[in-house]
Amino acid sequence: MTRVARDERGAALVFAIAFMVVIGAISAATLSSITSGLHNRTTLDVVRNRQYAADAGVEQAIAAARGSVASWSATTNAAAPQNRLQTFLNSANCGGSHNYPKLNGVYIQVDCKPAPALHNGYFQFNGIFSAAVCTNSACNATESTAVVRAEINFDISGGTVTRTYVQSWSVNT
Amino acid sequence: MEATVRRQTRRSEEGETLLEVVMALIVIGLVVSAYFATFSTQSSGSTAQRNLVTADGLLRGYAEATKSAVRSDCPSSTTFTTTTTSLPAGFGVASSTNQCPQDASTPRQVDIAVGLPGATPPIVADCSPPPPPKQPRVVCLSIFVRKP
Repeated sequence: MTRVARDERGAALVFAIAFMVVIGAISAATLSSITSGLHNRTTLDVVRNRQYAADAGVEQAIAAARGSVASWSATTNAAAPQNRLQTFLNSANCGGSHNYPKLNGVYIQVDCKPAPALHNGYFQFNGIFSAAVCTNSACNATESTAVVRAEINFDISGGTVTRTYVQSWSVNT
Repeated sequence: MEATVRRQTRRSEEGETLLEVVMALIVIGLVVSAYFATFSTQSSGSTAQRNLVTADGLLRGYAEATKSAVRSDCPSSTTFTTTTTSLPAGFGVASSTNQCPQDASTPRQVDIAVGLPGATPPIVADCSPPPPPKQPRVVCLSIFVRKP
């Protein structure tokens, strides 16, 4: 009788501990889920800031390229049609590379490459702008890491760019 | 002798059972309290996430609407009007400017701020550093707009 009673001692404590462990595990999982969700939110904010910083960099680079692009018509009109593209590729530029101040917490470098096209005997004065994220103000990003890649058509009349058209605009997350 | 043992055992069991019940009640009370606290935290976390997701959507939507307004309004006007859909209850949106860029070669920075529920008005669209935002419960985004 005494032995049996002694064996039952502490049973409630064991159950209580087991109960606490189970509930604790559930609570820990719940808190982990909340923390993970908030962390994912932060990641999405970072992606948004990066995309719009790159977007802003390309917009600034397009505006800055108007002067360089305006000279394309004057330097290429005299050449034979087959040579015009080569003339473009050899001599044309659209502002080169730009490093922009931090925007939305992100440094952006934008590169521009001429991409002329011949369409029905007429040139399309196009440039490809690629914006990549940098870790600091002086960076050397490559097009393969571009966040935004845009092909812009420049409408040139009278030696000046009168309007720009977005031909393609792709965003990588 | 046997009666003495039985009495001692019963007395011992009575005391331990009461103690165990009290301890169990305390433990269960603590665990249930912790569980409800967890649910409360989860609820507030979920609300915060929902608000931030809503703010993210509003920021993106307002940014795209601003760029579209600049493209359509600025060739013939000095100001642009951003058209947005109705805001969810408790949210507010502010923009730093409605002035068009001066010319096609000079883009203009536009700061957009979204105030979450509970933000102290007025919401100021100023995304200049240093982060974190100067106003609590306000999410900020900078964009550049240009004339086409």
